[in-house]
Amino acid sequence: MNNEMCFKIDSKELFLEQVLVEYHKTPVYFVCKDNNEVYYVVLCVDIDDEKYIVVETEIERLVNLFRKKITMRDIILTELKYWEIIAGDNLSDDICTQLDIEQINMDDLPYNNSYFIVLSKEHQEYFEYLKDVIMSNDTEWEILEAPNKVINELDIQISYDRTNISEYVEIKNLKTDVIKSIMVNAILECNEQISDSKYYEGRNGTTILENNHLIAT
Amino acid sequence: MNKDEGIYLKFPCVLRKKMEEHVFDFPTQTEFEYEPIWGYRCIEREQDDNTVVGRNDFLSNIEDFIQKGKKIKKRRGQTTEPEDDINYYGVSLFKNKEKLVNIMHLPRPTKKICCGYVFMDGGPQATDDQHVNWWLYEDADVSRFTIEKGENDE
Repeated sequence: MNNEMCFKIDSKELFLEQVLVEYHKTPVYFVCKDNNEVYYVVLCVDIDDEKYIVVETEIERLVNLFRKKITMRDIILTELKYWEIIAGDNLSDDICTQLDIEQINMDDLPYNNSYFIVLSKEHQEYFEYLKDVIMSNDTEWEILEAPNKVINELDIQISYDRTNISEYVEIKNLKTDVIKSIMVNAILECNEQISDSKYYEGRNGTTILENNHLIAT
Repeated sequence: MNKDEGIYLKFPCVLRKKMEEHVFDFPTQTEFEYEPIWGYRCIEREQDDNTVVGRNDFLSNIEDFIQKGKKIKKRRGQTTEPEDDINYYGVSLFKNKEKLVNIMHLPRPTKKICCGYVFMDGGPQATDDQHVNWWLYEDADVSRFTIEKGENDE
């Protein structure tokens, strides 16, 4: 969306995608993207000394940030690695260090429960743009059917949008006695579509959709 | 925007110089005469610091660079050179406190919210439906702005 190059990390050039939060006209929380369509979240932790934390992220997570399904803090902590960047006068002068996420200073991060609030038309438009990107990218959709034995047994087909499983799960011809043993959040979200919801109350934290495969207990 | 050249003398040196050199002028929607506008602004304060609001809390981006002895340059994510953009010579306020909710999620720097009236004796302003950009005169008195009590304050 923008040609403003913000960082060079290894051989990757990160361009400004969208400023999410500014402090006195200085971007302090923003999204970048590289030439391989990889997204990054950037947090400025020291405006005066221009120190930044950068994590690679996924577009689905960004959408969930806008949907208040992940916090500004957790979208960073979800990653295994981060880059600490002390900006120089020029991009080539930046001091860039990759570290394990366990090494991050938690006091630098957004507070707990820091859900991003869409407050401007610009942000709403960016949110719509992200969703459009996902919807237009066929590879982001997963159709789960015949190959999986469990699915065959259940005679179900699940298609879902990775950005929001609950909105797109479709279950056909459910055999309730079998599905009963599958403990999933996704199923929980489908209660309205299922005639007898008591069979589908899963345990919190369990999931059937893991690495795009249906799993059953 | 044709104002008396004399009015430029009221601005901080860094802006006055740009004005006198006709490097840029105020945006077309800028008002020099206006009714007071209620606004909210984040200011740097530690949790236990209740120092009254002063002009130092209302430094423009450019003034802040100068006061801290920093080179004026584009920070990452900024798309224009601050020195060449009149907007960076003004200070930001928001008409609704809600607009500050995201910035208050971030701990660095430690912040509090102050509120008060943007007033014409303090300098001209340009306002859209949410944001106020206020070009303060050098001796503008902002001491009537007050710091809002935080959740952890008594």
